[in-house]
Amino acid sequence: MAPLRADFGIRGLEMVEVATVTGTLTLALGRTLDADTPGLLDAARRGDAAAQASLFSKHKERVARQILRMTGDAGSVDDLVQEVFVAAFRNLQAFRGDAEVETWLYRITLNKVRNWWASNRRRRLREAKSAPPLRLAVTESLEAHAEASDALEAFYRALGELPHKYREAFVARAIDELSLEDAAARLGVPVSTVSYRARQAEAQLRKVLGWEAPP
Amino acid sequence: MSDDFPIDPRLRAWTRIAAAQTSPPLRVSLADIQQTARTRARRRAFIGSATLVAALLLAWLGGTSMQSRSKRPSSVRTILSEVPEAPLAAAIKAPPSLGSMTMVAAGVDVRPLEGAPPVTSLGPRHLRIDHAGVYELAIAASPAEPVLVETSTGTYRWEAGLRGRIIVDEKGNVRPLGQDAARTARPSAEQLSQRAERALAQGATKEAARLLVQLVTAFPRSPEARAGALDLARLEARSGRPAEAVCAYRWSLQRGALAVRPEVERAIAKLNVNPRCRGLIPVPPQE
Repeated sequence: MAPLRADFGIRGLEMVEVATVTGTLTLALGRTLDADTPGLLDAARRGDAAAQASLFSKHKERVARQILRMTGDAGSVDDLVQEVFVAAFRNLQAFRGDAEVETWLYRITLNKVRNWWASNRRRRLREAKSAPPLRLAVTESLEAHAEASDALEAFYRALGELPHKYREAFVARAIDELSLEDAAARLGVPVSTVSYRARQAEAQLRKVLGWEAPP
Repeated sequence: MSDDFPIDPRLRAWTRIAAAQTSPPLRVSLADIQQTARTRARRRAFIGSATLVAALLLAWLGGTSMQSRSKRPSSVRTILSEVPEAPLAAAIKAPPSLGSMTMVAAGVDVRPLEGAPPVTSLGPRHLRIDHAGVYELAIAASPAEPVLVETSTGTYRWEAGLRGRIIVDEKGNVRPLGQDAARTARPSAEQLSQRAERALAQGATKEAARLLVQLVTAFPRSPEARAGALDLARLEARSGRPAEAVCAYRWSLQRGALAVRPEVERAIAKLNVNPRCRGLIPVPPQE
């Protein structure tokens, strides 16, 4: 029999048995912590640093991206990621695993971002006295706006005018591009509610931007 | 875009740009998070026990408060008068972001300033200050009872509804330092930004630079600081301090001024220096 070389990619196991023609070969593998497994969550609940590191490492980038999409403010991402994970580790005992870890973190992120929008809105209201009225030139090239670097700020300024629930539904549907079912699961509301809120959000955004009717 | 959510094409262009954003490299680490969690847990535990102790003491003192009022020592002096209601209300409603402010009891906050040692709590409305120093205090109007403060020279009475600063000298004498100093001594990021803009408009570049440095160092996470750092960088460049300008530009990039990254990088390249920076300050080569 010609010798063969095999590479094993096995996660979350400490031992694996491989049957060969001459018997069973037991391979000992280095212990890997597969994020989100019940064992890892239990360890994280007990304060196991490696387990918490694994959870953080697996989810931090997604949470950061989500925050950026929800706020449009790169400068706030670090602070909000910290807030999300502080809350997550604090409430890990209460997390019963009914939802995916990802969904659970998404909802914590929603709450933290809501607080951020509330304080941001107060700041914007203070600034509004000196700021020009919000109205985008619809004939201008959007790419040009983007290159002018204030495109996102203008968009998120408009988004900030919406009620939290409408904004969250709109971000889930239009920016995250989630299906109605996925958006409903993430936001914890019925599908019909997500659909209604996203539609309302779009209508209100057009109004805020001064786009009374679709072109 | 999700097929079952067709939206206004103009909005679609915006949402695509929003979806394509890339977040800057995360600076927050698990260690930061664990440290913050520990600090908050300690704070919660402290506030919980302090509230419990205060409640128990209040209950215990409740029955004897009338007697203690009549037996107040004759050496008690009132050192501050009433201040207007507005700053007081602000003090009461302020969130617990008062730095090292020590909550002696509900509605009684004392913060040692300029390195002054902490005060000693003798009861819910009874303090002792053993050392010289400057202290900031805020006493809620309700309950309408004064706070007694003992120093080596005697007992002072701080009336309910006060907010201000006091100085305790080496002999234990107490005098006020301007009752509303706390409000005016700390301008907000917005105020600093506006002052800097005014100074720039008036051509007072030194003053503008000073205000911008103050803005950036005092409120590093504020949006005003990000914009301020860019202004500072341009100001330094125009003033012939390219190393300082580069440090300010780098600082703004680190703080997430990504929308203007290409412009900033061009400006840095144009300055043609590559200093090591510690925040806004260039580090001398020998360090």
